[in-house]
Amino acid sequence: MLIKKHQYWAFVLPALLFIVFIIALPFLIGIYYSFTDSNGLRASFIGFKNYQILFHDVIFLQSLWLTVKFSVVSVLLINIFGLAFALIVTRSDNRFNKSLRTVFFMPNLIGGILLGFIWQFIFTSAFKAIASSLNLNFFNGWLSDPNTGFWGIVILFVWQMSGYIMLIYVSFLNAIPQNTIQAARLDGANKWQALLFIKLPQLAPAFTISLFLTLANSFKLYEQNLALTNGGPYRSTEMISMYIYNTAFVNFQQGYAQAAGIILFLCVTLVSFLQLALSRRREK
Amino acid sequence: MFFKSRKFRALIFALILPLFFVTGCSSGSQQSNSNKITLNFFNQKPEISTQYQKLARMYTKKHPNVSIQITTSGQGGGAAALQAKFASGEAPDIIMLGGLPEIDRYKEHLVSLKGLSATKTILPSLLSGGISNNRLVGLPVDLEAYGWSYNKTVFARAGVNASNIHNYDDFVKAVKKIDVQKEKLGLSGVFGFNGADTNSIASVSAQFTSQAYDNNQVKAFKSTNFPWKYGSQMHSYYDLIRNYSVQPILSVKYDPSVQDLFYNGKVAMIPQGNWIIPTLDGIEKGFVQKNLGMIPFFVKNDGSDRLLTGSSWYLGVTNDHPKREKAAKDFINWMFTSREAENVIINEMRFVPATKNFDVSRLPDDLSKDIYRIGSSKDARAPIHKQYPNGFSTQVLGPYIQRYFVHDISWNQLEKVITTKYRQLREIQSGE
Repeated sequence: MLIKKHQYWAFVLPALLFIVFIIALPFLIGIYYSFTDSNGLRASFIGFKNYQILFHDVIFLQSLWLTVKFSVVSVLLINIFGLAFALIVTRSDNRFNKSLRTVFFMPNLIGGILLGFIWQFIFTSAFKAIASSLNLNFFNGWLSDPNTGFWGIVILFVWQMSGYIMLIYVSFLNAIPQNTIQAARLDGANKWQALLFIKLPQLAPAFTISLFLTLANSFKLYEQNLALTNGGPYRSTEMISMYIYNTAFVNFQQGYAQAAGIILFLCVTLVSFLQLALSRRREK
Repeated sequence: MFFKSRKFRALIFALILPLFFVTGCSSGSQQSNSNKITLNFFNQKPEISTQYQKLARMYTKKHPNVSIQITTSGQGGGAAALQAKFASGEAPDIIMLGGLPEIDRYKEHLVSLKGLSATKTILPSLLSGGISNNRLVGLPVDLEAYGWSYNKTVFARAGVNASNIHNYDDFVKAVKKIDVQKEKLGLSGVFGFNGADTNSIASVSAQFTSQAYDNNQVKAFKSTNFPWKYGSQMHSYYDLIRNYSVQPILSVKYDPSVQDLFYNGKVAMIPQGNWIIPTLDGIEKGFVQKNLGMIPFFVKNDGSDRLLTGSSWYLGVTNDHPKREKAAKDFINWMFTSREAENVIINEMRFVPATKNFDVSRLPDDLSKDIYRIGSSKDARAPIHKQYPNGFSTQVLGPYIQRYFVHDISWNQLEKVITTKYRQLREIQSGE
């Protein structure tokens, strides 16, 4: 053996300690607090009451449902756009490959809060200018309507994440052996057939990763939500993370918020495992 | 063996060395501070943090052994940041608290301020906002007026004289008179009601809920019922706002409503108080004196309606560091009673002081003088929206009024849901 056992532990221990003290312990304490009526400073045990109330809380269920809707829509759109971008920038006859890659990836380098404010400006001021100059009412007051507000967040998130997902697809596209494509071409497959039957099946592992990343991220979305709509109008675009934050730090019902957090955790875990299991099976 | 090699020992040494530095530094600073006191002041009003820094420097100049460290966190995140300070064991010595629900959260940490020379100067109508468990633990930061701010130039050009508006009918007439001249005056609406901002919605609601408690903030804080006594008048006002405000009403935010709509004369009125003074004078010096006036909401509509005057923020002293408690109290005394501190507060923060027997002529503009006269008079009335349950303003009242603005629910539905939610939140939050 190259590494002795105690040396192995010497290298692993610091990281392990960090994980235990910063992730595992607080997580367990958090589970305990979800059974209390904590307001952040005082807490007493109340059993399953928080969970009972939670499942009758219309606003909680609304925001959970909104998050599910948002995740489905944005996961689909991000992966479609990401793949399309990847196909564009991996074409051999495209002179702007490198600059396009940079352009597509750029939004991902800007933080969520900033992106939110940039798009807030676009949706309120730029859209308003379009509306008044072209007389199109469609562009008016996007962030003050529940439906367009929802699509506003979707557009923002797709714009931010597509470039990142593109990178994953690019690396997998480049790894596809050229001879498989050439062989298909020789057999008479056209471009679309080559894409559908040769490239896409070989991209299966890329789908697994990309779906996992986008799914987990869209369930946990917070700062884009905060900066763009802050849940408005009238809490109709308040997603589950924001609901939890507001319950904990605006209402100061922290035990209750913790219970909602545990539910979110269960949802994300369940969905991610299902998705991983399904797409892993596909890969084989 | 690697374990005994010099490289390894050097590595261990290099890893451990910083630890000594860290501990060395902290113990070193503690020693040199033994006769010097550093007070931690938690401020929740970001717009006046530079002025507080100035006050802190002035105080340190007079009292070289006391320095004041100001931490500022506001705009919605202040309450959470303050809680994090307490949870991490670094409780500040002086804390700024918004309303009795927040004071109640820290009641075990707050010391009584009874008998302080600062306390003796506070306007009596504001004292109940700092009382928890029958102990006075908070002093009001300033005196704020709540009502309609109007642009004098717009009023004059529309031919409306604010001093002739004495009741709700006069007010509606004035609104309609301005409305028909909208195009001519270049207005986007009569009101610039910032429907996107739930806090403003809450402060407007206080116009209709405060009468029930007769200046007793503790009673308002204990109440499990949302007071609907003036609900019909509230209904009329919200309908008026809905009909004559800049559209779409839910897209109007606080900052643009003050800095663009109001300042540029695109609207005649906004539902804000004297806290907009620094912003307006910051854009154009002298704007406030020339252009800003306030009219009250006509709720009782019997000629007794005045601007509501109160304080959103109270200062408290904590008992977490007994050694610094006296120094903290001394600093507060100095802020409320010394002339030099007052000068900074009235001229740079542009606050109206919350203290008795203040010489009105020292205030820099006529509106502030009027506000002090109203706020220090016998029938001054303080708004109670800061005593709503935690989250009620931003999570219940604001969103449901917004729904009403866009015809999503009827007034009856609104009344019902607000009554139940108010009770629910109060019961959850008081049942410890």
